[in-house]
Amino acid sequence: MRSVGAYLFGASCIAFAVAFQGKTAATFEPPVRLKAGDVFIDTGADIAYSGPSVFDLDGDGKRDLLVGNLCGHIQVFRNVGDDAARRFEAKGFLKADGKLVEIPNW
Amino acid sequence: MVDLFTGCFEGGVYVLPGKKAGGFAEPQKLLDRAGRILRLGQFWNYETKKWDGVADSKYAQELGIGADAVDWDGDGDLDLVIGSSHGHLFLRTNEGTKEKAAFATDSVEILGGGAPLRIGGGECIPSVVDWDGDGRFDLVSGSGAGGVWWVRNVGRAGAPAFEEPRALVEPEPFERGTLRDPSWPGRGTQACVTDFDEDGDLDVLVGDINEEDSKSTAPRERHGWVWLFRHRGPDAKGTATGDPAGKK
Repeated sequence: MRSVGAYLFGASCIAFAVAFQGKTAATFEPPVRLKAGDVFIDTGADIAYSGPSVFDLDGDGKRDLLVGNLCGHIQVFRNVGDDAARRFEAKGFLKADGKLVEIPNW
Repeated sequence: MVDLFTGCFEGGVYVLPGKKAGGFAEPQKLLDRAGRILRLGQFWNYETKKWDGVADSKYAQELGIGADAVDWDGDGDLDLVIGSSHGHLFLRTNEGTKEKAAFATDSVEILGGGAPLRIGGGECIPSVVDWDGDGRFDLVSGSGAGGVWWVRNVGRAGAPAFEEPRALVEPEPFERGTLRDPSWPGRGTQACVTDFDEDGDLDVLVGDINEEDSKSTAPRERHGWVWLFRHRGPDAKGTATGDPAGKK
């Protein structure tokens, strides 16, 4: 399962300061879209509304990425990098007891 | 073991229990202590193809679409924080135990700044996280209109109290690229606050939806991306609103 071909889209080195009520309190780098392999992670085929979560799904000590969508499915992206430089590999939809997980939506 | 937990647009709250051998059991609907499906107000009835549940709910017009669990009252068990399609937040107290949950039959609206909390733009899908590192859990949510909102907890253990929502990530205020070259999350955002790069501070993952104009006659192009806002400050505390590279 730990095959190659996934990576986190590289972040820009340009940071932007953020401020609230007159003081700079935190700083984010410009946002980047995550990728699996060379492909942007995208739930558009399942009506989108990506709902991300991180969790060590396979017990290898590295947190994987789970992304829910409006069709009620949960896409699995296994972390095949390391914790400091995540690389993701698409692993299809989450299953439970061997069955496709489908949370009723509409 | 870790269980997976999710709300949905049908209005229920589901849990996928973790299994000792790994993986998860099939999704189970959470029930209240009366044995009824734990919903906020109305829900889509798949059998009648109508909105249902309006008559017997104090918050009949609210559709619960997202939930997270936290020991709200400090009694050692997990209570539920539910977000609604209208952007409001509700508490469903666990009146049972950590081992055997028994959720209250009624929801209680959560207040902030003396008024019902509301995430502007609706579609509140809450996450519980201590954003400012003060030892108190806060609430974070995306929005139907985009952006990510932080609801700061200024209460005390067992008795949380909240300020009004503040933006962690501003909604998309203007065109920042196209469907093919975007530079900012779209609408329908869902947030996951986590130390993504494990550098000791909190980053924000943002899921979204981006669509072509509905007036298009062709099949509508639609995407749901996942964005990373990597925290680059000296610490993870404080409020953050964003303007990348001074584009505003």
